[in-house]
Amino acid sequence: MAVRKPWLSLCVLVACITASICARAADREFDTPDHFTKGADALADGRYDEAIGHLEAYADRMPSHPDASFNRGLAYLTRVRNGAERSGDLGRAAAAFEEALVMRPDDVDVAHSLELVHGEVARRRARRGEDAVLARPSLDRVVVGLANEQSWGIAAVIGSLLLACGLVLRKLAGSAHLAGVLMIPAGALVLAVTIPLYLGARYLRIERKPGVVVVREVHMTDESGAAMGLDPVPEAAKLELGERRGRLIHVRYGTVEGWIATDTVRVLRTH
Amino acid sequence: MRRRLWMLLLCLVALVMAPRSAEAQRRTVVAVITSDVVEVGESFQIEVRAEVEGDAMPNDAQLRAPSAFQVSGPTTSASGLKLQFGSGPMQMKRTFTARWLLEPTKQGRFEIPAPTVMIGGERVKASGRLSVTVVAGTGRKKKSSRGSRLSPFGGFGNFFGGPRSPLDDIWQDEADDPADLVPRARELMLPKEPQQYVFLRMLADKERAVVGEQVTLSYYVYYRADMKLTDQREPPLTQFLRMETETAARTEAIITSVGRWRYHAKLLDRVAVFPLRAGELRTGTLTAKFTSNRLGGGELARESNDVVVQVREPPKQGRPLGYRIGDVGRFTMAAEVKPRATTVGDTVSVRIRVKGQGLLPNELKIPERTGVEWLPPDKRDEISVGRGDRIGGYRLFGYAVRFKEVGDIQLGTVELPYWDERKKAYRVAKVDLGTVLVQKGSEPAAEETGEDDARDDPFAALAKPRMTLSAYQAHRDEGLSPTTLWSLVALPPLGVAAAQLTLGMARGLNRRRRERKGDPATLARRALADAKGKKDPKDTAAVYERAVHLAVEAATAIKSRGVMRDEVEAKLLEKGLEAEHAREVVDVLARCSALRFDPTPDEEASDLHKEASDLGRRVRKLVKALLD
Repeated sequence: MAVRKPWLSLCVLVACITASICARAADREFDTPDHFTKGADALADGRYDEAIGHLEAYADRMPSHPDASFNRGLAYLTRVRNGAERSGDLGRAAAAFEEALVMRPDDVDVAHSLELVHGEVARRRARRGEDAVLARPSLDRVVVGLANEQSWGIAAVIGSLLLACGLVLRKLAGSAHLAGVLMIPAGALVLAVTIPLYLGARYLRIERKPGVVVVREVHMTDESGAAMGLDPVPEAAKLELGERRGRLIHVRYGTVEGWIATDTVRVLRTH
Repeated sequence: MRRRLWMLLLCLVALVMAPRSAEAQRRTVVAVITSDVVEVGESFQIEVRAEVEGDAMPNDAQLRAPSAFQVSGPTTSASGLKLQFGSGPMQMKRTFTARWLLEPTKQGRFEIPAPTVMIGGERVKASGRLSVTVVAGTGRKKKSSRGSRLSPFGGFGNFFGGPRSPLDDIWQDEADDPADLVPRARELMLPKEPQQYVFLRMLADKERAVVGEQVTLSYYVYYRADMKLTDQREPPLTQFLRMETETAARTEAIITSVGRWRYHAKLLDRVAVFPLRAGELRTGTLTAKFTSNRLGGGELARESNDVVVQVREPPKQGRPLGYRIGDVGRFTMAAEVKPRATTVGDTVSVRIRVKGQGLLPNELKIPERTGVEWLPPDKRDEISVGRGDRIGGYRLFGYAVRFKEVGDIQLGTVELPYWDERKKAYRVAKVDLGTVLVQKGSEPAAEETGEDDARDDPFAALAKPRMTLSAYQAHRDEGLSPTTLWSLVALPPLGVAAAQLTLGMARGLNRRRRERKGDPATLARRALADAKGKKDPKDTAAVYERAVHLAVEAATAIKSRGVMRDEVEAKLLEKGLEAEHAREVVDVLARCSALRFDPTPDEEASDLHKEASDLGRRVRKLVKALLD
């Protein structure tokens, strides 16, 4: 018995290792890390559907990369060009290009491709007799968007330093006192302006995500799902996404806010 | 065999008696016994059933059993039924049933006189010979009547499918020993009745499933009284896809135990359902209405349990590309492509057959590529119920594929990833469609019209795909954390303010320290403390004198040392000092002066010491009073 037990243990160990290797092999079969290469090859070969599959898998499983997002957009557009378009393909292409642009804002090819998509959406709407929808961002978004959260934070710190210097100089005599008296309100003003902007930028970064409409058009509703009677948001439009409640997600398009179904919009992955 | 003979005999009696008279047709009273051979202590039943056409309702059933039997009962039921065939006359048929439970106490063969009932004021004896053989007990569990020969009248009672079963009414039969039940009956046992006499029960073959996996629901009705199902409503199953399995009609009721009672469990229906989403899904309840002669013909409404199925998605780990939630089962694929050679603009037929168990997919992910156009498919299927009520079959997808380019075109591979519920693993059914040789046709080929296409193509100017990933460093836009920002913003002004405050406090402390140095009260107290260390009474008196002057100065701001002694009291009174204290000040100062300048030599100064000591007490008291 004493002799048999080690053999038994050895058999169990070998079985475990074999099972583990088999499981890993099975995983490798389905979870190939090189989805980008396979997707790019399939796209170059005209197998756009396969390319979409691989590039979507890459987007799901790997860290975002602007080139992968760009190729994904191209794959959807290839399907459109080949007459096999499925509803939302233009929106999905636009989402991929927007993603790539967020990651690499100076990519000319991506920007051009995105322009082509928006142009095609506008052309189709015009052919259907629908008005072009132009959404302008609200003033608060424009101002907050002038700099990022970090820049607003640094500006606030500078304002604070100004205030502190003013407090010190005010105690001195002569021109230093005058400088101190002027610096105190200037520093307070900078603080009063930059702190709300910092908070706004932080709120937008954390609480709001960019997304793109991936259906022909979507009508906003209120929280209960009742129509708001606003102009529809067209395909490929970029939205600001907020809180989710059930099947609805809060969105902001230009100055208009409302709720749309979660499956009508694609959230951009930028990290 | 003997039972069959009895039944045959009864039928013959009925047939022979039937045509004899109109009276006999209108009145039938028959008695039956449930067992021919019983053990001592094993109970059995005798039932009498009277059917009468007309208004007279049978009643008052009586049984005169031998003394070797303990008799309980009877339990009776009565009902009336109006009959009208076509436009013929209305007839009334009344039925009366009485049942006794008998338990033998002795062995032997016994003839039991047939029971009697009153019909229209006349006592009528039931037909049928009731004999039973009682044997010694064997120790096996004593059962109540099997009911094998109860209710042989037909046409009444059992509405759960086809002709009446003799087992339908087991009104007060006690539960069987689980060991005596068939395995299925044991599975259907319940510890107690949810509702009395009849209830509905819904069973699922599994409590956990993945989205798209088949769950088989069985609807059972349990009853221990002769029941008629008058209305049945299916559960809503809003979160499931429902498919019939068509097995319910073939099944018979089986006897099982519910609490202390014997019950029939009859399968009403069996359906295959497929969960449509993940979560805790509820089927809803099955409802039905029953009537029973046993319960006086009233209607009983019953509602089944609500089955809950925990549904999850198949694991993400190892999920193959293109897997669609809901594709669960075991599938194989085969394909046929005809013809293998064609011309540009023409089509070939691609027929893909998906076969297997589970919910067959409604669409396939076809290998689309440039230059090949797949037209929407025609679908044909045959879905059936296989072994173990598993739904399966095949679905045929017929595509027409048009080619726009010349060459040996690879059609690609069609893949159907699915979750194999038995193996608990993903599998991919795949079929390679091979190549099709496409040649130039008479129609203008795609290349020839390429220029026009390019003009119409809004995306002609698209950039080429990128074959490698270029260098890219994802910047983490974390921003400044609020804690860091608040610290950095608050630190400079707060630091300055804190520094200024500290500086001010330090200055104040210094000033106070400086002021304290010339404070007469402090000096007075210090002088008193100094006096304790003096040994010479004259020195002590000098210190006391200084302490008093300083105390006066602290109390009144009068520097009394520079005031004439005669004027001191008046000045102090002017400053508001109490007269008593003013006099004491003058007196103490005088004593101090006297002591300081006393001419007595030091070696004879013991009295001076005593006096200095007394003076010290007065001075301390006075200084304290002045400073307070």
